[in-house]
Amino acid sequence: MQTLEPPASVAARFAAEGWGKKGPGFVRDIRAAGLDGWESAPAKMPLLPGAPAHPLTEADVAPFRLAGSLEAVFVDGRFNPALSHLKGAPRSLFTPLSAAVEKPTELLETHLARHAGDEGAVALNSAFFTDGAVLDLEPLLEVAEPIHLLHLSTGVEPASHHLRHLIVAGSRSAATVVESYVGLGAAPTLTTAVTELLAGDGAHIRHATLQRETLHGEHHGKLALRVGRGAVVTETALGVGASRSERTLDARLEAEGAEAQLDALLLATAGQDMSFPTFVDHAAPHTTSRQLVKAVLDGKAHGSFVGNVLVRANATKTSAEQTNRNLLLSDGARMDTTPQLEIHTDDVKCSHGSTVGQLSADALFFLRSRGIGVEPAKLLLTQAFAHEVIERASPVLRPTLESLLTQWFACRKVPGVHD
Amino acid sequence: MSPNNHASKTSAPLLEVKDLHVEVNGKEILKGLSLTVRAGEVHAIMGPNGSGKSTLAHILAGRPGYTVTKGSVHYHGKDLLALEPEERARDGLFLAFQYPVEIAGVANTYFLREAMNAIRKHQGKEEMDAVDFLDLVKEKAALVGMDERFLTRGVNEGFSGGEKKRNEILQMAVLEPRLCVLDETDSGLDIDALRTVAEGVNKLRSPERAMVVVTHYQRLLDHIVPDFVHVLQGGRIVKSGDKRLALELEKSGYETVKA
Repeated sequence: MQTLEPPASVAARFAAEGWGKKGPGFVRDIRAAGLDGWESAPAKMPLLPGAPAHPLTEADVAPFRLAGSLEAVFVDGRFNPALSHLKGAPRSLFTPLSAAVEKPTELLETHLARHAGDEGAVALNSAFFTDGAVLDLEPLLEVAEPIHLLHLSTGVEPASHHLRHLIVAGSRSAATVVESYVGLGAAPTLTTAVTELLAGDGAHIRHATLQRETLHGEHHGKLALRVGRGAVVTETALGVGASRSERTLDARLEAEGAEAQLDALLLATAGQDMSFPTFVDHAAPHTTSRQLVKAVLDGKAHGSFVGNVLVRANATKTSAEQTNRNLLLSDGARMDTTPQLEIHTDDVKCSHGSTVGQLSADALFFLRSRGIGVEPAKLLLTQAFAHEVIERASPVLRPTLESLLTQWFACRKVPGVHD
Repeated sequence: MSPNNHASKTSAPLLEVKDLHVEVNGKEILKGLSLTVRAGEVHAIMGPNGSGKSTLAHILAGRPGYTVTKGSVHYHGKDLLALEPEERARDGLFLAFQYPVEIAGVANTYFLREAMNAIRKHQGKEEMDAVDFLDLVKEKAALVGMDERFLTRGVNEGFSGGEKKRNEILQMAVLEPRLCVLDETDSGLDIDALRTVAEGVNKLRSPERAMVVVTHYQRLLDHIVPDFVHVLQGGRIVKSGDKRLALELEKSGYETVKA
């Protein structure tokens, strides 16, 4: 890991830069608790927010936009209204967190940093978050356009960025929310991103996280989902960037009929290290979770999936499915997979499975025997492997996911791109 | 059905296998096989299990895992064994698999267009776009009697045995090879499926195209009538003749065949 700042200076800078005095009382408490949590955390990523954002032009941002979306653009950890497209958004749907903490609402005070826990990177994020999105979906509000929270690290100089999002979906509201984390330059960067998403009764939320940092960057994040009565939440996580990344998915099905579909596609090559721990907590009866995590690893990449499913004693009639499939494209790639079920009641339907394999030699020969070259044939089979995850994603995201997979495949062996 | 073009016998062979010896895992399977195939001809290779029929089909298509210890294979004058499987395919060689592979998640038409365009690119032709290709593939599907709903499914995903074999013939119809090698195309088919698959193959017979039909049973040859029948036994062709040889074998079995 690239260490740009000695751990001891974190607390010193926290004090010197007055982080403990930023925002109203409850935010100061969050920051102080974060600093404590951070100090006691085993992993050290001592990078603090740096200078204000470097300017970006429309041309820099355009390739990463999501067509037809309401888009809140963040550059180097700070909201950028000029690059954002929020015209036509329902009133009070979006508030930048930096503004929200100046005039805190009850919603913010009730939920900010109340759900995501306080371990490692989350603590660092709590201590030093600079900005993010507060999305307030009023009950019954249906937002037709996808909402895109697009963060870009300029990577002009070594820097860290700490984003914190809070999404509160009122009862029977519906929306699609996509978070993108994009890296641009060649300087080492650290991004931490923590999202708390609360889906009220009967809400339908499609969420996605696209982690596409550069290989000079590290990314640590967490998505905490709280799913209410009869609410349905889907998550599609794509991990393709960062030299080292860990994104935790923590879902709690809090009331009867809550449903979560939690999918991920991890693409790693060269010496990338990508970790995806998940925790699904069935805390009420008649709750459903379906998890599909697929990883494609090449080069000397290392991937890790630790999937915990907890079915509590009261969570009868629960259905929990967990599948982890891994494809290794090279001899040097390595995947660790640990599916774990912890079930405290009998009246449940649970399944889990995990496989690690290579491309089928028979399928590869078949495609070659039809005139398709080795690399295009491998791409086709890799697309076939990833297809299930992409198909389960929101339709607005599928073209992006498909093209990111193709780009990754094409670049994975190009010297300089992933070295 | 096109008649055998006897005039072609004077032309250069499309495929010439000479004294071919092939090992798999150190065991010799083909022990001096020779075979000459000219454009327009249909050759049946018959033989009991373990005689080396599928090895011959696979070595022609370039499947990895086989070692040629002696002999040569020339394909319209080129050293076939020096080519990669995809180079052979682009040059017009096609193997219809005995056990077609299922590839869930890749639509049949998408895969076929990739294959077609790889071949067109090799031929210096413009790649075909999705719309034009769909028209072509529908026309070919009708030719081989395949229901259009199989076009959008994953390659052989959830296909019955007969549908998988028909899909092989569809690929053959789309890719328009010069040399078709059919490996046990009749295996696993009931008589109706066998008939429709054979009809598809027959529609693809032409004076420019040669076929090598590998089969254990005579019944396929009731429908795909060969010009030549060869008996493969112990890794060598022990007897050659016309279609009557297949009938003879059906009556008396492989044991009675003498070199």
